[in-house]
Amino acid sequence: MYNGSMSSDNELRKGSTPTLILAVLADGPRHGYAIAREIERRSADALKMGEGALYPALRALEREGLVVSQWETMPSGPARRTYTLTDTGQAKLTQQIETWRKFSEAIGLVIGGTPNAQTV
Amino acid sequence: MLKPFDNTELDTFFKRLNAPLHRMPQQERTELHQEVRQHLDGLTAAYEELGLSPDEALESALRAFGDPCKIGRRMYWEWRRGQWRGLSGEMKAVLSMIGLYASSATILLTALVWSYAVPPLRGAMPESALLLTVLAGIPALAGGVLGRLFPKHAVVGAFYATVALTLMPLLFALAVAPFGGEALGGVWLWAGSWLSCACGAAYLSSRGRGEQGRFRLSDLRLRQRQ
Repeated sequence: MYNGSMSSDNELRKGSTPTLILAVLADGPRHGYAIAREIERRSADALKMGEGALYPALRALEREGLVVSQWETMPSGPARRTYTLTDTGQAKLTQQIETWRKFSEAIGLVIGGTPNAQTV
Repeated sequence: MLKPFDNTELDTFFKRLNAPLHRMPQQERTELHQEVRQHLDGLTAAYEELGLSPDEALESALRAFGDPCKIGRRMYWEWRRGQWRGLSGEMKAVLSMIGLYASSATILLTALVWSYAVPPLRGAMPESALLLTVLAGIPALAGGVLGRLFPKHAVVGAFYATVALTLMPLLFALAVAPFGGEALGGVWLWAGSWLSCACGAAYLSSRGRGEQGRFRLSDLRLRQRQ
């Protein structure tokens, strides 16, 4: 019996986190806290994930060469680790946006389609 | 109920975060600690701006950040994956071959032992089966599998893994040879058969994948990861 509304939401979020991070970084380098705030702002607070989950996702993206990080000295306060999208990351983002668009179109067709007419 | 503000919660949080990370280098742990602390400071400040008291803000920030044990474990696994990925293709092939030797030996020797345990098979199994298994079967199976897994580096992996495994016994046999050690001949036979069977099987198997070109001796040179 399907009862996983919460768990399916979590699974969707987990799978989308890398794409969301790449999309935010496409606008320019950011540190981890700023990435979380930007995701929240763009989604109008609809996407509130466990913010700590960003950091393993960022490490995975760095391992795959999609983002690079460096410690930058701030005008005020201690140095912060900033993440920047690479060319490979940009290409991957473009591909994932296209995949997501096709996927959501297909889902929309299924759930938004008219019920089958009954056969006589 | 308001709790007095203290750093015990933060200390506990970071202890739980750091617990799975003890094998990470100290510098990486320190950098992660600094990143997480800055994130928590930002969250705490944001909650205080919303009107929460400092300790309520801290509590909310820790809750919003998530389970530190889970995050620490995921960070550790991401670091581990990075370590493996950082190895060159040749080194991955060498390490995999050592593992394949152990697996092949386990599978083939277990099958042999079972076959000796079954009376009808015992009579049909010549004594030389054990010798053939050890000298040729194990390296051939391991090399064959390596060729499918790492077609570009199969022969290099088989060569260096075999050298690594047989070098110590060879040196030992050489050392005891003056004292009448007949083992030297046996060890040479073992090393030679393993080297030829493993490399040969790896080459043929990788050719089957269509990715291994003509093999040259210069391919045995270990290269820096590019």
